[in-house]
Amino acid sequence: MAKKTYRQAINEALRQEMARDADVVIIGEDVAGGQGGSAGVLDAYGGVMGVTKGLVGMFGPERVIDTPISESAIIGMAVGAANTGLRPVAELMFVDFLGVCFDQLFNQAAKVRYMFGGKAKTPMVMRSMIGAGLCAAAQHSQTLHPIFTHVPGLKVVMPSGAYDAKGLLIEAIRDDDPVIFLEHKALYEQIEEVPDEPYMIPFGEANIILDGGDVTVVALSNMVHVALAAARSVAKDGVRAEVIDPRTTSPLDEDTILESVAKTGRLVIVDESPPRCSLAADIAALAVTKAFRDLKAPVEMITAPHTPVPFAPSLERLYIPGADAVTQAVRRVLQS
Amino acid sequence: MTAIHPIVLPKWGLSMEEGTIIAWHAEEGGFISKGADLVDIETPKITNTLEAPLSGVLRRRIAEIGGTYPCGSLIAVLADAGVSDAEINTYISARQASAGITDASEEASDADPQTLDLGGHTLRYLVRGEGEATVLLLHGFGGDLGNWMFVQPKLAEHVRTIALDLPGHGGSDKDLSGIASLSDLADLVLRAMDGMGLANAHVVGHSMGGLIAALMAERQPQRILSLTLVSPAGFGSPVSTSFLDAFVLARKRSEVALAAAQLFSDPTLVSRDMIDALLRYKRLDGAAEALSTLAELLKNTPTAQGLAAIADFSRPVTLVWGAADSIVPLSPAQSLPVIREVIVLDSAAHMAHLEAADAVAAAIQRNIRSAS
Repeated sequence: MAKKTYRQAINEALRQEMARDADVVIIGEDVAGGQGGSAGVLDAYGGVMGVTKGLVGMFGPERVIDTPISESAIIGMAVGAANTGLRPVAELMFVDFLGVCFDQLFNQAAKVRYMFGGKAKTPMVMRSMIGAGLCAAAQHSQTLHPIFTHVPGLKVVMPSGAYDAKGLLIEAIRDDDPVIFLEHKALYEQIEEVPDEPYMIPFGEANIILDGGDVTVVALSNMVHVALAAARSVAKDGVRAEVIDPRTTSPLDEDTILESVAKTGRLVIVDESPPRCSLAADIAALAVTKAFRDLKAPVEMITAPHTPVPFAPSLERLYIPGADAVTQAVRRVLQS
Repeated sequence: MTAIHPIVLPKWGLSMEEGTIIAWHAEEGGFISKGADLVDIETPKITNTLEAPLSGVLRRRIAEIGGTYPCGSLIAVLADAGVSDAEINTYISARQASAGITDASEEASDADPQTLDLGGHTLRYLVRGEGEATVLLLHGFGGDLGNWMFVQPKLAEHVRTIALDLPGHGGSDKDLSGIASLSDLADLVLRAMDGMGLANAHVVGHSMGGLIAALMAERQPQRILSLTLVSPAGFGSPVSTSFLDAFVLARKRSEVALAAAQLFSDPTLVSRDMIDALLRYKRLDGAAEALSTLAELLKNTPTAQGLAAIADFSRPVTLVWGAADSIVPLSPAQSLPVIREVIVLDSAAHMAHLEAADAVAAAIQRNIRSAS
């Protein structure tokens, strides 16, 4: 088994699924790169982050399809292709661009199976990038998973590491429903042991990354690493935090969170999106409605503020939840 | 306690290579009782407390809080108050000096697993140690070569050892096409011996691997120098079908943990690392199908197939059984003259080679010696 980056793990999942199933196609801006452009160079980019690099050389431009800059066309084409038998993986470069293709997702893709009485399906994946930290400003830095999670009919996946990224993407491609696969910009260089063989990680199964009995910390995507740093910091005082990564927000593994809260009685949720109508609010609601009597302290939500993502590096650093804030929240819930 | 007792950074799982010291629970110079919390150690998976292995004075804390150390590093020293500081210092420097040397030699010999292509089946194996004789280690249903993680290094001090991933398991191919019976698997392992240039070998098998070893001895007895079988299938007791079904169907962490707990007399040995490794294996493409196929083969295996296979075998056979084994329970049927010894280990269940690795390694070594 080799160590691979998050980027390599996603690339490998795409490559192996395209080799396994001729119906798997990739659609997006610059996913092949340069085609039709003035230079005429094929495979120069592999998408803005180089994730699909090398695939056009293996599978050809009919299966790795470069598109014009039209998100509504990319996603609409993927939905239609999925309805008519392909398994497209469409790339929405930045999740912030969902505004121009949202009807295709929430009114079409998410509802086809339901409105056709199960006789039609939409086996598509929309890959997209989330997250702040790269000074990409307010329109390229948002963490918008709550919007997709809100829509019945969409599955929402947020891998926090390379191993999960490969297994969850293969599961997403083989799934018969539309899956929103959200990659965090800050994680592409994250390295883990990743098996060379294909494997699937089922949706709705949280990963308990660190065992502990004193406090439950639920964190998503890049915030998992922030939570782990905080857990390490409080461990010096003998506090054992249990760090849970739900992996998917829809479906959400409620059981693992509730079992942990039943054990610890204390819950801190760390999420990079703003707090209103967020996953942090959703999981807090889960705890107070289904585990109220287990709770020994108020639930803490450590989130970004309810503002656009600032461009100024100094302000962006303040915007993103940090390990210190999580550490302080853990100390607060332990005091009550 | 008159001796100096080293405390080393433990290895809590196959993938654990190092650990970070989070907190000490005992002060230098203080007395600590056996079983008391000694030090908190963090791995990427878990923060665990290491307990004092015996009572004594914590004479020296060597590892620093926040420091990361490889498994096996000396992190503290326990000794009686009567042992002089000079003796402790000499002990520590000698130990650290030799650790440096062992580390270097281990790096050279502790090779990564290799793969062998048998035309249609790729098998992964791990070679450790050197010597004229070779011990071939075959894991059981759902296991992999890592099951021998405690036994293999001990054997490798004296002989060459090869732990193999059987088809459908570990890093070997998950495709079982062409395998219609456990005898086919025995043939495949014999072919693997050809591929690895092994004319003969002492074969050690656990559970299903034990039955495969017996079937190898039936087919090519001249190549099998001895058989040490740990809770082998086909020696009088059927393999628990409820375990086979639970293991095959287990998909979630909690289900895998429940199935794995059946394997041990002390269920607390089922670590997060072990469950993670099982989950990772079960998620691989083809693993579920392979396990399902093998479970059916095991269910349809005659309960005395292994005994019948070694009825005419003329070399030493030792059986090792955990007294608390509920997967392949100890059976009174093992009374063939060819069986040299039946060793029953009180402190173990089905995974004696993990729960009582020293005793299993000693049994294998005795059996090998009696063969020569």
